[in-house]
Amino acid sequence: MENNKQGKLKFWADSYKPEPDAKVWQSIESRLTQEPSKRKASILTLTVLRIAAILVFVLVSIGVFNTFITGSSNIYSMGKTMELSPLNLNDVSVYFETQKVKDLRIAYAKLNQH
Amino acid sequence: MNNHLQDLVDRCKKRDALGQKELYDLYKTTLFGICRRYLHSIEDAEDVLTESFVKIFTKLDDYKGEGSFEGWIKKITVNEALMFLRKHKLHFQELDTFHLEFGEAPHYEDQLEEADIMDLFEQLPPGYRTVLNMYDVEGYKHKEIADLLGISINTSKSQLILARRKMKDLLEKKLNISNGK
Repeated sequence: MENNKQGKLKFWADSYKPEPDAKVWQSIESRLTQEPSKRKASILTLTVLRIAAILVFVLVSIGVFNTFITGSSNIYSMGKTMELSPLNLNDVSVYFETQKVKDLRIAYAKLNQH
Repeated sequence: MNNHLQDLVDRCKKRDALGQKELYDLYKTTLFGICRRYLHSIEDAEDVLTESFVKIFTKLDDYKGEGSFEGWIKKITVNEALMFLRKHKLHFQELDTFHLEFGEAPHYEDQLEEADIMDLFEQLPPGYRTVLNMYDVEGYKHKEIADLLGISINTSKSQLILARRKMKDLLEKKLNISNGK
């Protein structure tokens, strides 16, 4: 029963077809002609934004790389100029194991070579 | 879809202006009917009709031929009308459905003309009108109405109960007047 009543409303809704004003088509038409140029503009904006993003990424990457290289080259040059003061074992009374002192000497010599 | 309509849709996909006008002429009254059912003012209904057709023409490539074409364009129009209503802050009177009885759908008398029913629709507050349209005409479930309008299921139910009650009163008044009581 209710379905039947609702059916009547649906039937009315389906058959209710008022005529819109003629100006509606005019505004649709003008919107449709604007649409492709709008789309072109938005594609252009998107491309520009993409290029800008890539540029920023490249610049940031170069900056980070430069900082890293400069930092590591500084450490390298510091290491290059670094010299150890001569080892004087005569003053060190604690070294009583000769083998260990020998090893220490070799290590010291190797370190000084680099 | 029949061959003529398929051909028309294909022409519109290629942005053929004459095809677009033909498609508009074919469906303008059907879709304007939907807009008028949802929106009180004719100007608002015309704005929504414009937006709907612009969307139909620009999104035509999304229609893959699954389901009826008329159903697809009607759905776009209903969604546009709902979007318009949401944008303009559609007000819903919150009520506790626990105390409300589910009235049955009003009996729409045969002698009522199209214009009479539209006149009754126009007297309904926007919230009632929207839910009545969606439930009794479009066949949406309360859950779907709640999701689409951003309201609770209870609000959707209470709007329908109140809309049917109001519609019944308006119908009785209208019939009494037309019967000369």
